Amino acid sequence: MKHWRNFDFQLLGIPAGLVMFGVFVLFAISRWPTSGVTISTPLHQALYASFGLALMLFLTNFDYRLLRSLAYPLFAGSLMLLGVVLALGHSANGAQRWINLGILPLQPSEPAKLLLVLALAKYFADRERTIESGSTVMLSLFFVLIPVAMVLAQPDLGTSAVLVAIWIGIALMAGVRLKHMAILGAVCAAALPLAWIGMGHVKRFQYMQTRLTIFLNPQQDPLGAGYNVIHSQITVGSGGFLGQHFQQGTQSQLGLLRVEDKDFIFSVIAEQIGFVGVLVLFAVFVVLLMRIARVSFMSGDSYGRLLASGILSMLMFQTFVNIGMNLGLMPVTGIPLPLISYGGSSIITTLASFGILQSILLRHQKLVFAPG
Amino acid sequence: MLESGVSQTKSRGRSSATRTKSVPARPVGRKRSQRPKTTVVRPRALERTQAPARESRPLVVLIFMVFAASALMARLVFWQVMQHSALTRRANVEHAGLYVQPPSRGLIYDSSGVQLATDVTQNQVYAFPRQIKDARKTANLVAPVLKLSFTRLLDLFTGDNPSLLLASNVPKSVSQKIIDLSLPGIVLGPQIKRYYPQGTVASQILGFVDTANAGQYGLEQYYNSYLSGHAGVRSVLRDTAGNNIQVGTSASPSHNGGNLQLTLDRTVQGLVEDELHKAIKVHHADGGTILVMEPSTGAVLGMASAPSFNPNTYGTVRDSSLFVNPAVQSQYEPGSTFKIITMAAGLDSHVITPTTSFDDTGSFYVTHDYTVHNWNMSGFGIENMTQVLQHSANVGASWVAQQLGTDRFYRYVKAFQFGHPTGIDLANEAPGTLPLPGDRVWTIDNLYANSYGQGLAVTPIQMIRAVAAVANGGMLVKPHIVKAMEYNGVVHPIQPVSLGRVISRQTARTLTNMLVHSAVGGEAAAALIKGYNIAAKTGTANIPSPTGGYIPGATIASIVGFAPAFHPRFVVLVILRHPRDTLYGSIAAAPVMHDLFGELFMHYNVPPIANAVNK
Repeated sequence: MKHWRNFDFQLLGIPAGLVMFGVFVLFAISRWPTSGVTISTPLHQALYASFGLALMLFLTNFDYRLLRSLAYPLFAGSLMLLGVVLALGHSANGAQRWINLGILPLQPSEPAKLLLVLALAKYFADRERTIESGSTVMLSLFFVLIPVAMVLAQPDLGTSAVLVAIWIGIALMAGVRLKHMAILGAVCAAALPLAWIGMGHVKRFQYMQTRLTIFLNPQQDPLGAGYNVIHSQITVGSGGFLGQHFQQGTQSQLGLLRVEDKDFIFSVIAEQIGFVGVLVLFAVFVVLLMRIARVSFMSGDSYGRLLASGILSMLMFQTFVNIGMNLGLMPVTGIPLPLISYGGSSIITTLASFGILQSILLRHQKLVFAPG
Repeated sequence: MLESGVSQTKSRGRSSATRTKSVPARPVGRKRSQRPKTTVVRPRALERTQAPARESRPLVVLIFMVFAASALMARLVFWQVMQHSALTRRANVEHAGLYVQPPSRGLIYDSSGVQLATDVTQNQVYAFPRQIKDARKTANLVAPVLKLSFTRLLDLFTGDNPSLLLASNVPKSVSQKIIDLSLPGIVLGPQIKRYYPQGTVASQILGFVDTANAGQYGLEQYYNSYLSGHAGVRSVLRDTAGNNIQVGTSASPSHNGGNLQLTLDRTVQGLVEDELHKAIKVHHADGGTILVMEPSTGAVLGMASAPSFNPNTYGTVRDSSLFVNPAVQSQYEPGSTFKIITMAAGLDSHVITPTTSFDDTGSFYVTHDYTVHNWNMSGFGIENMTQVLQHSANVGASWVAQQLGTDRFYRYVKAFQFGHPTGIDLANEAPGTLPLPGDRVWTIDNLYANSYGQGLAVTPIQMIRAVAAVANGGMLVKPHIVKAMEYNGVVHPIQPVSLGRVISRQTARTLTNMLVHSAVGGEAAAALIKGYNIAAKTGTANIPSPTGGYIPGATIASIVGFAPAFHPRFVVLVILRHPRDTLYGSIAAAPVMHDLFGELFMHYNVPPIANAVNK
């Protein structure tokens, strides 16, 4: 039973608008001679976005309740893909994250985020009645720990953090006792020093340690690891109140930023559109997140509610952490800015999640009291 | 039971406060599952509120969102509003700068347009790793061409630096290989280098340009600011590697250097250098200098010394004294050639005439510890002044100096401007050494020693300029080597500078006549060419020892002269330092002048005359 009148046009319009804005920014960057971004970047992004929109419309029409029964097989599939990446992945910047599928170099950790949302939502929705038991919570950890371990091994600290954020968001909304979450938090905090020492000893993970140290003191290595941290600050700062307007953002234009099409696209935008522009962009993101939260409230069943919550925490975490990273408030962890950063897997996954949200909205049931 | 169940559900749905009142114990999962199932179909929306603690959860999320957004906002305000100007300054320091636009250095060419110094463009090899498609393949191909290590290149190509300078000053063969490879991300950039197409020719005249683009020695130094021009200043934007990306508005435009056209003739210079090297080889001399000048204008036609260097490879020269141009920077005791000056003074003061005679006994008593002797230690008997020149008699020169007296002798020596730089347009000219009466080192001995060219030091350019004044009818000129300065396509010819008369026209003519006649059958005979009047005087000077006195058995053999004597076109000075097979200018230097005049007459088409003294 679908009700198209429930279709949320803001949930279509805002992502589409942000994607178009992102393509425009990528196009502008590609025109700067020193950026290292070619015209193929915005073209690819537009192509990926079309895929994403198609998938979004398909999922809008697809009953999300069917996803509940598909969740575990899909999740298992994503774990397999992560395993394939580890086995024969394509490396970039020292990390194995991609599988080459010809036109789209697939980054399985991106769909893995959404498929984790599907699986965790099912898991918690199925265990509504035992949600307050410790064993339910413990078992749920396996859903997240396995992909986290595989993603960390790539190594990709940022995506691992997103997976953890998804678990926190869904668990929180599913009603896991705060006491349990506090205990888990304490265990993690206790394990941190061990993890820190471990990072230093495994060559693959040393970069994470470097990035965290650099976050605390970028000047320690201003031309190496601290480079982008310092330059994103200069870039954002030179944007000023009104920005330098497109085609004139000197810092980004001169190739002073690296990965300006992906992780640091926010700095480029901030330099171009300035404080006022960034405020508007912020507002748009906040409205978008609010609309996602609304889906969570509107949802007629636990599964839908938890799905929306998971998507909300996934996108909220990514948005805040990416912008925080650009503003020097978060360590550099390679998390894309949803809908804007260049990346096929990321944009398709994000748009697909909006399809699921619409599907929930179309099928949500009005609050109906029992007769008598 | 049924009723209460419904009412409980309703009340919980309204507020959690009501619920905690109606249900005293906090429900746990186990208890809830024990609760009896009702048959009422409860709306799902209400069912989810069964775990009431969750109601605050969206609030937690909202608070987190507000907190995170505020933190980001605060940071944004801090960076983009409060720190904006400071960060912009930092950005400007990083990528904006003043780009000094290098001007192109002026050319130097000879009197007929042969290039002696020019700029050539060489290449630098840059890499832009972001444009490199296959770093491994690129590094593999580039490494052998640039002789760099493969692993180092691969590191650079896969590193973070967006642009790299791989090699400077690469030869054409290498840049051609780079072009042939045509690898994306590997590009050539131009680099300008000073080049001397004639190699060693005129090297000591030209000098060279050092790595800081400053002219060193010779013309490059003397005319440095003119040749180098003025750098322009432009505001630019720079990328991370410091490369200029966008050349902005020009604060001051660059002015290219001006060109120099020399009086020097490449052909004459070649003849001069060949003759010099030949003579040095034949006589096993330590070195030497030859000067060819146009007497009426002071224009230098040829100027060479040996040993010299190649300015294209000045960096490999171990002995920096090779950069020095001895023709203007070294001084020597001229010896008998200076008797021309003594005679000029005597004639011009009317104390002698060409036919004035005296009895040359072979020695001339000055003081009890200084007696002048002739070079052959014997007297020539009664001789006139022309014969004094012919015999190159020191006693005769001393006798003339005695007739002149100290005041008049030095008045003439000073009039010929010995002891002062000639002002030729070449760097670091030496002034010569001329002790004068009144100086602490001057004694009466100096007067007589000076009369035959010892006890004073001159530069070759001073000597030839003095003789040119005789050739020139008594007018002293300022020697120069630049004929015209060409700036922005406009040619500014350099006018010869006359420094006024030093001896009368009559004296000059009389002296010329004496020199022409004395040469015939005299010391300078080997320099003569049939059909041409050549005024010449040889010199054989002792070389002062650094420890005092003179070096025994070592001489500077020289000859100075001009031709055709009564319509002089060239004045030539030949100096050979320490020839091993002979002591004398008459033997070592005179034949060089003979050959050189012969070649000059041919090159400049100077015909012989029928009534020449030397038939």
